[in-house]
Amino acid sequence: MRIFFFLVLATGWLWASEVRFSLRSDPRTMDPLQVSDQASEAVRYLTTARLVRVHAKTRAVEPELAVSWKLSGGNRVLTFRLRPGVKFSDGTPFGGRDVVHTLRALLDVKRNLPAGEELRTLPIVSVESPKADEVVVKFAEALAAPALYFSEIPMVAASGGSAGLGPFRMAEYERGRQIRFEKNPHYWKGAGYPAAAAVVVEILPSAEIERGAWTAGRLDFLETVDPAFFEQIVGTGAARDSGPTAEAEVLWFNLNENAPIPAHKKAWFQNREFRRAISRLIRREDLARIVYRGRGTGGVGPFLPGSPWSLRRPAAAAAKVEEVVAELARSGFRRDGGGVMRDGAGNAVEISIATNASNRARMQMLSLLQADLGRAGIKVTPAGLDMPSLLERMGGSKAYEAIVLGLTGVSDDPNQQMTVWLSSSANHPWRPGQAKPGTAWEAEIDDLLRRQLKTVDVGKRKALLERFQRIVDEEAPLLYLVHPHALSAVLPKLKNAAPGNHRPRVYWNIDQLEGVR
Amino acid sequence: MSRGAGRLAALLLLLLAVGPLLVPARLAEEDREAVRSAPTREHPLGTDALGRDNLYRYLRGMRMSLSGAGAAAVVATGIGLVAGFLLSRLGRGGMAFWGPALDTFQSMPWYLLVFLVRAWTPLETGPEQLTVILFTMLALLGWAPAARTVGAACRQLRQEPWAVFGRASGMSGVQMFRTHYWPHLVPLARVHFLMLTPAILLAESSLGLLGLGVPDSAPSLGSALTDLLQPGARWWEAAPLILLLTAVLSLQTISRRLTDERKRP
Repeated sequence: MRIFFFLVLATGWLWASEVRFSLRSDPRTMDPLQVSDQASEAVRYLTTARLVRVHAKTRAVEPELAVSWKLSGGNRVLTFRLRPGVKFSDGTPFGGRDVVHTLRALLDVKRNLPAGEELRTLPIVSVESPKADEVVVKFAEALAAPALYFSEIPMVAASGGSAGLGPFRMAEYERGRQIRFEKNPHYWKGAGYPAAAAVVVEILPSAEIERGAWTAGRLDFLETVDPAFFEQIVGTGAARDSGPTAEAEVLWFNLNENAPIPAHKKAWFQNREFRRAISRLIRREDLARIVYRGRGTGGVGPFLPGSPWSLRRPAAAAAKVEEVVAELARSGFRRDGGGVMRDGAGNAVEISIATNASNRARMQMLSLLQADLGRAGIKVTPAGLDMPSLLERMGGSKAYEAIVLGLTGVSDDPNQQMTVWLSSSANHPWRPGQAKPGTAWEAEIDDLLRRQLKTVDVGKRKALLERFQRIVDEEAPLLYLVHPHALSAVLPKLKNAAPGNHRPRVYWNIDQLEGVR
Repeated sequence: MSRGAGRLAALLLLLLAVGPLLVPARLAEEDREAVRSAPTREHPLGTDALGRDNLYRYLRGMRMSLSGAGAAAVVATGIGLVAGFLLSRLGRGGMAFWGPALDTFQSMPWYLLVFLVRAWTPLETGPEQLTVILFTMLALLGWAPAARTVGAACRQLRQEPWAVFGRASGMSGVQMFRTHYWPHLVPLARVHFLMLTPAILLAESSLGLLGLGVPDSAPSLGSALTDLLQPGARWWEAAPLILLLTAVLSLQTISRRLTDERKRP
C-alpha cells in the first residue's frame, strides 16, 4: 500500500506544472512555413514566435520579437525594431537576417508557402535588414495597418534547422499518441516564462474520447466543446462561454456558371431576390436556441455587432411567409393549389442542401431549414456527406446546389475576411478563383476591400466597410445562419487560463498557463 | 429460452405492424417549443433535439430497420442460395479459386463502399430512395457466408445415396434440385436469414452512428441511437438500444434453435 501511495505521489510530481491538452490528428508538417492544418498550427504556436501578435482579448497588436514598429514614408515603409538578445531554442542568435529570410521565403510566389498566403496579398516591394536589429518592409502603395499581417508569421532561422523561438520545443513525438514539449531555455520573455515545465499534447481522434480524457482529469482543457457537453458542465466551474465568434455557420448557393446542375436551378440561385427570400424565411433565432442550446447568436454578417466595423444591427428576424411569397411572385414564382412553390416555367422549387454528415449540429440545422423553407412550399432535401466528398463537390466537380458549412479561422479583422470575399480567392465559397469578378457587385466588393486595406483614415475605412456589408445584405451570396459561441472546458486548477473567442481560444497565453497535478 | 425468444420476436413483429399506428403521425413534426422535453402524457418517451416525439420515431425506426434488414436478408440469402448451388457444381479446382475469393470478399472493408456510393448518389435523392440504396448495398454485401454454407451442403447432398440413385434414374438437374435439394436447403436458408437479419440491423445502426445510415428524416433504429451518444442523454433515450438488442438477441436465439434442430439426428 505504501508503495502504491509513493507511486501516486511520484506520478504527481512528474506531472507537476505540465499543461495537457489534445489534438484530433497528428500534425501534417513540422515546418512552420508549410502549415495548413489545425494540428500543425498548434505545434507551430507552441514552438515559434512572431514579430508582433494580436492580443486574444483586447485585439490590440502587441510587440513580441519586435519591440516597436513604425509606419513612415506616407504609410509605405514599415520599420520593425527587433528585441535585443533573442536566441533560438538551440542558442543561436536571432536577428534581422532571419526575418528577411523568413519573409522572402513566404513572398516567393513559386514556393507558394501556405503561411504566406495573406502576406502575399500585400503590395510588398522589398524586405531589407539595414541593421542587425532592424527590418524595413517597403510597399508599393500606402497601407492602413500592415503590422497586423505579421502577427501570424512564424520566424524561422536563416541557417535552417528546426530550432524555434517559441516558449516550448519538441522533446518527444509518438505518432498517433502524444507529443511532448519541453521548456525552451532561451525563450525571449526570460525568467519565469513559460510558466509550465512542459506541455503534453495527446492525439485523440474524436470529441467523445477527448471528453472522456478531460473528465478523467488527463487533460487540462478542451479548446472547443459542443453545446450539449457544455450544458452538462455548467455549474462545475469548468465551463467557459467566451461569447459569439466571428466564425459563422453559413449557407450559400452554387453560383458557378459551369456547375453541372439544371439551368432553371442556376437561374434561381443567380436571382438575388430568390436568395434574399430564402434568407428571410430562415428562423435564425431557432437555429441558435435549438441547435446551439442558446449558446449561439443569429447570423448577422461578416462582423459581429460588437465589432468597430459592424453596422450594429441584430440578426434579421424571419419574415412572414405571405410577405416572402409576395416577394417571390415578383420574380415569377407562384404557389400552386397544393402549396408547392413553382418558378415561372412550372418547375417545383426543390433544393438539396449538403453538409458534412458527421457534424450533428449542421444536420439538425438542415432539418430546421427544411421546415422553415417548407412553410413557403419550397422543398429541401438534406444531404449529409463525408467531408472529403463534400469538399470535392465544392471545389472540384461543383456538383451541388447549396451547402451549409462553417467559416472558421476568420476574425473581426476586415483584412482576414478578404480570403473569403475576394472573387479571385480559392476560398470564395459560391464561385471560387474567378479570373475576373463575374458580377458587378462582386467587383465592387473586391474594390471596397482592397481600398479599405489602404485607407488610413478610420472614418473613411468604416464607410467602405459599411458599404461592403450593405452589398452583402442586398445580394445575399452568403446567408449567415448562426455565430456559435466560443465554448471551452477548463479545469479550475489550470492557472492563468482566460479563454477568448478567437483561435486559439484557451492556449493563446500558453507561456502563462500552468497545470497543477 | 427459445420459447421466450419466439414470444419476443412475435411481439416485435406485432409492434412492427401496428406500433406506428398507435401514435398519431402529427407527432413526427417538429415542435420547436417542446425541444428535448421529458416524458409527458402526450409524449410518453419525451421529444428529441428538434421537438419530435421519441416514441413515434422509435416505433417508425424499428419498422424501418427491421423491415429493411429483413428484406435485405431475404435478398442476400437468395443470392447465397443460387451462388452456393453454382459453387457446388464446380470441381476441386474451381473451389480452390472461389473459396479464397469468397473469404477475401467477406474480409474487405466494405463500409468504405457506403461512403463512395453516398458520394456518387445525386444530392437530391430523397430519404426513402437512400434507405432502399443502403439496404440493397447491405444485401449485396451479405450473401457470401450463405453461399459458402449452401455450397458445402450441396456438395455433401450430391454424395448421398438417394442423390446418386436419382441421377442414375435419369432425373434432370432442375428435377433433382426441386425434388431433392430444395427441401434440404430451405431450413439452411431459414437459419441464414435469421442470422443475417440481426447482422444487417447492426450494420445499419453502425452506419447511422456515423451519420451515413438511413437519413434522419426517415427514422431508423440507427439514427435514433445517435441521441443516446449525446452528452446528457436521458434514460428514456435508451429505448432504441433496448429495441435493437431485443431484436438481435431474439433473432439470434431462434436461429440457434433452428441450427440445433438441424443437427439433431
